[in-house]
This record gives sequence, structure tokens and C-alpha cells, in this order.
Amino acid sequence: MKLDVLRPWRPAPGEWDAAAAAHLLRRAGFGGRPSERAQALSEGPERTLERLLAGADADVELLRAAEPLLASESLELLQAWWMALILSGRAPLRERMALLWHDHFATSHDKVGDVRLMHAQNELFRRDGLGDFRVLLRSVARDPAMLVWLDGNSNRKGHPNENFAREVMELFALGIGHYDERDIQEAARALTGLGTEGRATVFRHEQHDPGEKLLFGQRGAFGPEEALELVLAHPACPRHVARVLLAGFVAPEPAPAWIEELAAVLVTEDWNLARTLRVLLLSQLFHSPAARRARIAGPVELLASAVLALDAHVPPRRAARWASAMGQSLFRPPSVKGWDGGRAWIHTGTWIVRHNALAALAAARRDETGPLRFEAERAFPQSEPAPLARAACERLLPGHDDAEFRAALAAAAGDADAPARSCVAALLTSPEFQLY
Amino acid sequence: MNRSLPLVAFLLLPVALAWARPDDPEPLAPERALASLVPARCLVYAESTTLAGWCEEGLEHPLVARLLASAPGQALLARLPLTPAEALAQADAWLGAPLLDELARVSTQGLAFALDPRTQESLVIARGRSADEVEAALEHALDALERQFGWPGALDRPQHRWSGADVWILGEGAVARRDELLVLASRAELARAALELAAEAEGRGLLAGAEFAAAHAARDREALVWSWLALEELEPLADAGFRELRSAGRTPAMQGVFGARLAALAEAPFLAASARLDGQGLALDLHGVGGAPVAALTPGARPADVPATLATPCGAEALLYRDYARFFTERSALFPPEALPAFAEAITNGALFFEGQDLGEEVLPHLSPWLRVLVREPEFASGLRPEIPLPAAALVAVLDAPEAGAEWQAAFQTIVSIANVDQAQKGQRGMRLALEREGEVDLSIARFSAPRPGEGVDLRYNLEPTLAVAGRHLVLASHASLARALVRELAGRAPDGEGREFLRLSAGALGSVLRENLATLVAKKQVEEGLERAQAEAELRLLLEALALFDGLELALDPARSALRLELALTPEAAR
Amino acid sequence: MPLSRRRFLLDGLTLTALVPALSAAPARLRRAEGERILVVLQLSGGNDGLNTVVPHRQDAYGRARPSLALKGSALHRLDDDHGLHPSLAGLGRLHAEGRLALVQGVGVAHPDRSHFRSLEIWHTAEPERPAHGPGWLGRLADQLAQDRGGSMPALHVGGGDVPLALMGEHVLAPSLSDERALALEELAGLDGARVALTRARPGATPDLEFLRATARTAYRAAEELEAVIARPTRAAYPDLGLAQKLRLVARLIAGGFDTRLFHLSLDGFDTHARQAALHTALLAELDASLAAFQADLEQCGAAGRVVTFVHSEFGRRVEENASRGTDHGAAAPVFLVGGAFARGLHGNAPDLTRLVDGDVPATTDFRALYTALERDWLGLRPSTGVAAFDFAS
Repeated sequence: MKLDVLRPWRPAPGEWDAAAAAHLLRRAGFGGRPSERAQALSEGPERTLERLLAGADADVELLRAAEPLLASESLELLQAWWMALILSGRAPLRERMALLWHDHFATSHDKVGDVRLMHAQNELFRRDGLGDFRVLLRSVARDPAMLVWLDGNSNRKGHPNENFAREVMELFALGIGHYDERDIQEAARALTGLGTEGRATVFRHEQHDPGEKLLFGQRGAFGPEEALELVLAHPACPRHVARVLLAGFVAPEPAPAWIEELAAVLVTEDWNLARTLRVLLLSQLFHSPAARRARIAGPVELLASAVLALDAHVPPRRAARWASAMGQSLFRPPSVKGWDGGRAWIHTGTWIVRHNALAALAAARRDETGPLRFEAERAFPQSEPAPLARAACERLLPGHDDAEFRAALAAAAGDADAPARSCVAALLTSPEFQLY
Repeated sequence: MNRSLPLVAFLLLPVALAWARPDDPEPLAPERALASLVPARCLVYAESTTLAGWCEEGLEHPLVARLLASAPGQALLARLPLTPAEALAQADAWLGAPLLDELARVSTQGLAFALDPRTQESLVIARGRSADEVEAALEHALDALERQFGWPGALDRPQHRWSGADVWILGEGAVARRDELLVLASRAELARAALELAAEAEGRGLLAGAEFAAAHAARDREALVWSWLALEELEPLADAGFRELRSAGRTPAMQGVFGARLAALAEAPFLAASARLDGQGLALDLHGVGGAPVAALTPGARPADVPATLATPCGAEALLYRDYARFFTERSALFPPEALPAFAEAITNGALFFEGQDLGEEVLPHLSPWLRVLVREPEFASGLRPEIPLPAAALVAVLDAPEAGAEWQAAFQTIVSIANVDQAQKGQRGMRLALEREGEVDLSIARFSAPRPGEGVDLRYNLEPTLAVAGRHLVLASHASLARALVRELAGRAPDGEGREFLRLSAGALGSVLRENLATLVAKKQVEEGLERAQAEAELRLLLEALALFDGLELALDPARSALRLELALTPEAAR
Repeated sequence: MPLSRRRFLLDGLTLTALVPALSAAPARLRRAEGERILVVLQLSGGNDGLNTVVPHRQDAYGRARPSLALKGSALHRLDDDHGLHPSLAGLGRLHAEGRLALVQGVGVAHPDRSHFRSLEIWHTAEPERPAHGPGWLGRLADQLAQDRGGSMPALHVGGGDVPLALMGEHVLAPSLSDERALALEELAGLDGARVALTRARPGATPDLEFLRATARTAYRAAEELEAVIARPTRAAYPDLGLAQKLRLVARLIAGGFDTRLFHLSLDGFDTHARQAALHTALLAELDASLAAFQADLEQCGAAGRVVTFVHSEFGRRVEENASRGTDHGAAAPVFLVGGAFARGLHGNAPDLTRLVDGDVPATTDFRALYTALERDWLGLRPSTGVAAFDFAS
């Protein structure tokens, strides 16, 4: 097929620089440590992306550590566990996809009320997040947490509950405008019987409506599987998925032309997300200046990228609390729409929370969760303010060339007892650093 | 005139010399306490007279040798980069003389440490056997410093002479020696003040304080360390948590949980503590000086029965004196006004459970203030091991008449029913109430129903709150099996007449709880602190090994004064 | 590492969803002069309205409550037939000064005796079906947020989770546990850098300009609030939980912060047994706290702009039970302190000879009061179509 904005990016000599490498690692993960950036710089975009897609360095011990903790039924521990996985910097693309699908198929523990189910859903996103989207949607539709969240058990013959059908169409697969109310009602009828018993998914024949349904112009005695296939076959579906990927990886308001192109790629690649992402993340569009620092950072990615870039160590429990205070409480999206994101992350209150958290990171201030390690002088050994500011910019905002900005950082360093920490604090709390 | 000049000069010479070299002070009196050399602004003080003995024996000291040779001791040592012998050898090499011997020599007649928290200045005073020995030891130390920092000869001569002592200035601090007395301070002025006190024959130092002097005179001379903290004066300097603790002494929570004596300890103006270490273990004595527990709430305030002593060993056991009846009846006298609404609420709730009776006036007075609390391993029905294995706990109290037990049974059942209504409103399942018998005694048992197949309920811990009344003993237990065992043990037993507050913890029991939950604790550390699994496990195993050195911990409260005695007994193996 | 603490804001914030900023214009820090504020105080557990606003002249009152009935001579006079509980001296004074409105018989048409369900009804203003919708204050917050991006229109003061009432479709108000949670952690030497880094500069992308503008607003708010907190309150607040929370609200108002909706609660009113002492203590806390709050608002000139709406999820039964307490009932009185509402008693006084199921029936729908507060006081779109309560009649 003919690619336009998604044609491969062929960097001229010098174009694959620190800024480009950092951009790829940031979007396809959480930025990575200095050593990983250096490796990416030397390996080039294709090999770096291969490594990310393979995700071979996942922290198996940490993944397994969830099991004994589930018995305690503590959501805070589960949040700390996921944060620990993200802050480990390992298998970053898998964690990035898990976060993306968690926002897309938003399910909140507030209603589900069961930490084991939330964990199982999270593992589903991790396992199937880069595979075939159709498999992912089918798995999510049968996921017990999702069924509890969208009232699957109340969806019965004669009393259909449209919640599930509506969200599958409106939010998960098609988007507004590609179905009508009749479609929703018929789909709800097709989905009747699909529910949970304890923690298991069950299909109750006696609650299923076996009659004929009319869905997207097709007639048949559809059950849940058939209804989902019809949704997936709808032409709006690949476009909806493409839009999600573009908004997550490129920029918040993707142009229609980009969406068309990526949708075509998705279908060509047989709905395989990994291969689709490979096209996207090696494309002209992705590496264009318009895509760089085009998003406002969400709390989790803001914290993770800062911690990894500084080679710091923050107790994951504390980082999870910071993210919650900033408005992104893992496993508790505010509604089935997920987090609004973008400018919605920022207002007077959240600005101060971001400021305090990042200042605490720069100052390596410990609290009752344990020590916070950030060796500022080791990371930035320069003694003079101007070289210090330059080094901090190169590490934390590679590619950002703004003399006035650097001068402000140098002034912060010049005034302080601990120049490196003050310089880093000024940078982390600056408006520029909030752009991802 | 020319001939008288030399005569005048000769006559003036002694005057000049006397002016230039003031009289050296008298040597330090043998019975002079080291505390009298410490300026009164030091709010923290510690001293030891037996340390020298320990140093002399070094690694050969019987207790140290036993500890090092025991199995848990060996396990702990295996984690260290150097063996103690190696570490000592290195220190000896650095000093140029055997370290422990030198330490013993300078501290034969005592070693004291003092701190002024307001200025963060600290002071160490040591008194050796003789001036020569101390001089020699100091020379070794100063030479070692010269070698360390590359200042050859810099410390050969003292820079000053204050109050008859030779003084070396090291940065902001100072080291001084007068005869067999050695003074080290982090700030030179502090050393000077100590030396001036030493020079004054009537110098009082900390002994000027009446409470200090009395406590110091009464101290245990065989203790390894005796220390003193001026808590009241330390309060403004400490963090909010400490201040809150001190001001909480008169709250119902503090008095209710920790009891009058411990609460008095928390709010006493001064604290004297001594530590004794011998073959059996470590004993720590804490006295709150200058404070007094609330008289109405201390044991002996009124005659009362004590729950019978139980023979079966427990993981933990405590005997507490908590006169909750008096909390209610005398609340306006005992507690500040902010605490009173909570009592009103408790009375309201109590009335709900006890069929309208006033909790303070009509229910609690029938209960003796002596309460026995114990923790034991529960027996699990075969095949039903909970996911979070926790020990069983029970409370044993004494009623003034067996008939009073019926209303407690009724109250227990009411509480379960009300809890079930609350659970039902939340859409959750409640507990079933069962009435069973053990011999002649009725047991009210609240049980969680077994989960239905597929139901998302975890068998976390098989909690079965149980209430029983055996004679005059009231038993409230977390598990029915423990309640039954206690009912059997208390059958036919009368309450004891006397009691003394204590708390006993078995290190073995604590260790086994930790071991059973090790996987969870390791995972928790990995996830909360971000440690690697191997490191998290290593840290927890270290804790287990340290626990293995001990038999247990006992806290006992001395009825004579607000004194808390804490004893850590070593395991029989380690103590052999 | 020396940190100079500048006491300010929001370390104890828990936010779970945020305001969409629909305009790039910088958020106005100060409320426009005269912008009105609503403070909602919820008495949790079901306040016994009959012993709060006491119809002491009715014989049925004394007959139904042999041990709990209050004597007329001990009450604070409202009118010939009604008096306030002895603990409510401060509210009595406010009434005499014309700054208190009471509406009797407020509730729902079909009372539900469950705490959870009743609270849900009051929080969402949806008595008829299981509530799906956002909270009534949340809907107001959504409206306020549309006008200005980057502001925080609603705030929950107290520990615990944000109540349903404050949850909007887009806005979820933050929860402020106490004043000690207010702190801006700053590193030494950063003041100058902050100004330089948040300065508006040409050539910035819209997002960057938005970030800079919000940052400037936030730091300015920090300084203003720090100044307010440093100033000692002239009004003396008692050492009670509710009073301390109200003091925080007063400080935020005095400091010109842009929040217009506050929600607080006082727990413990579920007095099923031995009611007398506990109810007295709770009403005393309520009275002392509200009196101090009003006095503080008077002193900073804000009293005319603030209405405090005090309500409970239901009242209690007329007859006392066997444990000298009362069980869940139906209608109860509500208070509106301050503002421009006509003072005195409104609504239908309870007639204890004409009870429904042993309860005082609701003669005023609570949603009518909501509409009066939303439309007439705050000037916003009401949550329901129920006509506003007419204070003039």
C-alpha cells in the first residue's frame, strides 16, 4: 500500500541524535535511563524499536511478587506494584501499552471492588496488548472485571442493560456516530447471558436472549461472540483503533488523513498491534518536529521519565501516591471514558502537587515510605552554573535549545547551596518539562 | 641605680612568672563524679563504669564469645564483610596499639557522654587509671591521626593550656588531658567549660539539679550504661511526633491503651535509664523522674480480682490494669474537655448493646480492672489453612458475679446482629451466630459462612469471635478453639488476689509468624521500597536471625515507682 | 539540603479527575467582587430535628418523649411555638440578628430509612431511581469550570474520600484534609528562576503558554494564601474538629481563592440509644463552630457573600424508643446561615397529631431548596426542574 505520512523515516547523518532517540524512548516507554539512551543512540531506530517490541527484559520476579500481595486486598499495594514495574525501566513498551489500554478500556476498582480482578485485567493488557487487537477486544469483553464494571450480570433476557453494549461501541471499538440506538439495543440483547460467577466469567443460557437481532444491517440469532465479530467488521473499527494509537503515540488531535492511513496499515498487518506500531514508530510523522513534545505529560509518565532520566530511586509506593495526588490514581480512572488527559491534567491545584513532588525528587527528600536516592552531584558534576545548566538540559530536555531557559537554570544554580539540586529542581518544575 | 636594676628584676621575676603561669588546679578528687564535670546545659547524659572491664576482655568476654559462637550469631556474622577479629586487627594497626586495651586504660574510672541538643555539641569525658597511661594512650591516638591525615608532627605539642589541662584543637572541636582525665568535645568551648568545672573543687555540673543528683545517687552501679534525658527541656527541640506523644499522656486513648504508669513515663519531666548486660541477656530499666501516674487509675487504687494465671505458654501474654469504669464515672476530673464527647458517644453505643444500660455506671463497674491478654497459635480445622495465617488472641477478665455474664453474652450477640445489618446494607455477607457448649459453659460464636463455590471471597484468616463465661472469668477470643482451651484451663479456678502489670513476648512465636508470612513480606518490600527480591529477602532473613538470638522480651512495671523494666532474654543456646 | 518551607497548598490533595480547560486565557485568580459562595454542611447519621427545632408547646411532644423532651424554658426562642435546643445559643443569636433562615419539614416524598440510599438521594438530587448521575455540587462545578480553565470551583474539606455530591462529569473536587497539608516545598534560590521560567514569551506553542499561565496563577495563589494563613485569625475558633475545618474554609475565602463550593460533614448523629448527652455535645460543637465561622466572615467582610446550608439525610421518629434514643425518621429542618434569604422559620411546622407512619412527613421537597441555592443564590443552572423554594411566603 502507498504510505504518505507513515512512510519510513530515513534520517540524514546526524538526524538520529540524542533528541530523536529520547523522543522514541519516551513515547514507546518512559524515557529510559542515560545508559539506555546511549545504547539507542548507537544502535539506531530500527534495532532500538525491535528491542522494545520484544520486551525480553521483563522483571519476572517483580511480576510474580504480585501473587502473595493479592491476598491482602490492598489496592495501594497493587498500585505500588505496577509503579514498581514502570520505574524498573524494564520492558517499557509493554508497560506503556498496558497503561494505554487501561485508559482505553477504563475500569475502576471503586466499583469492581476486587483487587484480584483488577490484577487479572492488568495482566491481560500486558499479555495481549501488543498482539492482535481483535483478540484483545474479545478477551476484554470476557474479562470479569470489565463485566462487573459494565453491569454484565444485570444484562438479562427481557431486561437488557445497555451499558456494556454502549461502551463497547462508543468508547472501545467504533466511536460516536457509527451506530444508532437500535444497534445498541440489539447488541445488548446479543450480549445477554454473559456475566460473572464469583471471579469467573460464565455464560448463562437461561438468561441469554436467543431471538433474532438486527445489527448493522445483518440478521441472525447472534450471541456475544457473533456480536463482537460484527463490531470488529465495521469499517469504523480500524479507524477508531488507529485514532487511539495516534493520540497515544503522536499527538492529541490526530488529523483524519493520518487516521485513514494508519487504519489501512492496521488492516494490512492483520490487526497486529506490534507490527502496526513498528510502522508508526519508524514513520516520518512520528519523528517529525510537530510530534515532538506535543503532549502534556500525564502524572505517571512525568514521574517515570524524571526518575529514569536522573537514574534516581524512588520507593514505588511514594511514586504511586504522587501520581494519585496529581490526578492519575492507577486502577481508578474517574469513569469509563478514562482520563481526559492533555490540559485536563493541569490546574492550580495539580500544578502545586507536581511542583512539590518534583522538588522532593530533586532534593532527595525522604519520608515514611523510605529513602529517595538521587545523587545530584554524581549525575551533574559541573561546578560552574552555565555548564551545569547545559548538562541538565541535555539530560532532561535533549534537543531543547533555549538560551533564556538555560540562563534561568544557571541563575537558580548560582544562588543555591546545592547548585546541582536547585538546577535540576528548577528544570523539573518548569513548564517546558511538562511537555512530553 | 645601676646596681639595683638587676635586684628589682630578680624580685619581679617570680611575680612575672606567677602571672604568666597561673596555679595548676588540684588533682581531681577520687570520688568526684564525672557528671559534675558536665555543664548543666547538656540535656542528654550517659555514663558507664563497667565498660573498661568489657574492653579488657574484648572478644574473649564470656557473653560475647557465646554470642559469636551460637548458630544465629554465626549466621549474622556470615553476612558481614569482616569478622570481628579482623576488624579489631585493622583498628589496632591503625592506632599503633591494641584498641580495646587503650580504651580500657582511659576509662577505668569511668566514661561519660553528654549532649547539648540546642547547639548540637557533644562531650566525652574519660577517667583512666593513671596520668601516664592516659598520656600514652592519647599519644598513640594523636599519632594515628597525624598519620591518617598527613600532618606529621602537627599534634606533638598541645596548642593551649586551659585550667591546667593540655589542649589540642582539632577543627572546631578539642581534645584535652589533665592528669588521668581526658576530655573530648565537638566544640572547643564545651571542653573548656568541662575543664573549668573539673578545676573547681566544688564544681557541681549536672549534679546541681536535685532530681539528677538523686537519680544519679540511686543508680545501678553494675549497669553497663546509665543515662539521663531531660525530656521536658528536650520537648521544644524535638519533632511534632514526640511532642504529641508527650502531650497525649492524659488522653483516654493513652491511658486506655498504655495504662497509667506507661503514660506517666511518657510525660515525665526526666527519664533515667540503665542497661545491664549479662549472661542472661539485656535488661533495660526506665524510670520517669518527677512525674506521677494518675492515682485513680494505678493498680491498687481499689481492691480488685485478677484473672487466674494460666500455665500453658503463649506467644504473647500481658496482664494490664485498666479501670475503664473509672474512665467513665470520673471522666470530667480525669480528662480534658475535648475528650468528653467521645464518652457520650460510647455511652450511646454501649446502651445500644447492653439493653439501655449506662456503660460507665451500670456495666463496667461489674468488671475488674485487671485484664489478661494472650496470643497463641490457633488450631485450624484440617485442610482449611487461611491465606494470612495469624495467631489467635484472647482477653480474660473477671466479673464480680457469674450472673453478670449473661448480659455480656447478650451484648455480644447484639453486636453481631447490628454488624450484620450494616453489612447487609452494603451488600456484603454477615456472620452467623452459633451457641455451643464446652463442658458446662456456653460459648457464643460468630462465624463467617463458608464461601459459595466460585464466590469471590478469600479465606483470609478464619476469624471466629467467641465469648464465654467460665465461673467468674469472662473470655473473649478471636478463635473458638482458643476460647474452648481457655474455658477448660479456667474450669473451677478462682481469680487471683494480686497482680503486677507485665507484657511477655516470645521471640520464637514472633519469628514463626514472620516466617509463615515471609513470601508476602518479601513481596511487600519489593513493591513498596523498590528492592530486588534477593535483597528484600536478605533483609528479612537478617531480622529473623537477630530474633533467633533471643528467647523473648518481658516488660514489667515496678509497682513502687513509674519504672518500666524491659528484659530481653537470650536464647538458652546463646546463653549457655 | 536546606528547604525553605513556604506554607501554601495542597500536599494532601487527592484528585481523581480534572477540569477541562476550554480556553487558553489565564485563570482569574481572584473571584470577581461579590461572587457568592455556598458552604454545605452535612450532619451525618440523621439529626433529630424535633429536638433541634423544638415544637415544645405541642402536648404530643412531651407524651411521645418522656425522657428526651426538652423544656420550653431551656430553649432559645424562635417564635411562640418553637425554640432551639439549649446547645444552640450561637444560632439563636444569629436568628435574633436576622441572619438565620430555617425551613421545617424538608425531606423526600418517599422516605428511605437507609443511610446509604438517603445520602445518595441528597447528593445526586435523584430520589426516584438508582442514581447514576453526578452529584449536585459536581454539576455546578462543571458549569463554573467551563467559564475558566485552570480553576478549582469546588472543594471537600475533611479526611476520607470525596463525597458523591461533589463528583461532576468533568470535575472531581479535591479533598483537603487540614491546614497542615498546605505546603509548597521549595528549594533555596528558586524564586528568581520561577519568575523567569513562567514568564509569558512570544513564540510559544498554545500548550506551553497555557502551562506558563497556569503556573503563574498557581504561584500567585500560593503567595496570597500564605499571607492569609500567616495572619492570625481575629475570630477565636474552639479546639473542635468542625471548627478547624471551617477556619480553613474562612481562610480560603478571605484569601480570595477561586473556590465557590465547599462541602463538609459532622458525624455521629445516629442516636439510637441514650440520645440526650450525645446530641447535646454534637449540637454544641455545631453551634460553637458555626458561630466562630460567621464571626470570622463578618470581620473580613465576606459574610454577605457566603451561605452555609446545614442539612441531614433524614430526621428521626417522633416517639422515643426503649433505649432512650430515637430511630430513623423522615423530614427534618434545614438551616441557611448568612446570605440574603429571609430570616426566620419557613415551611410547614410539624404537626405531631398528623403523622405519617409515626414520622413527620416532608412538606417541602429538598430539591426546592437546591434550586433556590443554585439559581437564586449562585446564579447557575439548577440540577432539577423542581421549582425554587419561595422564602417570601
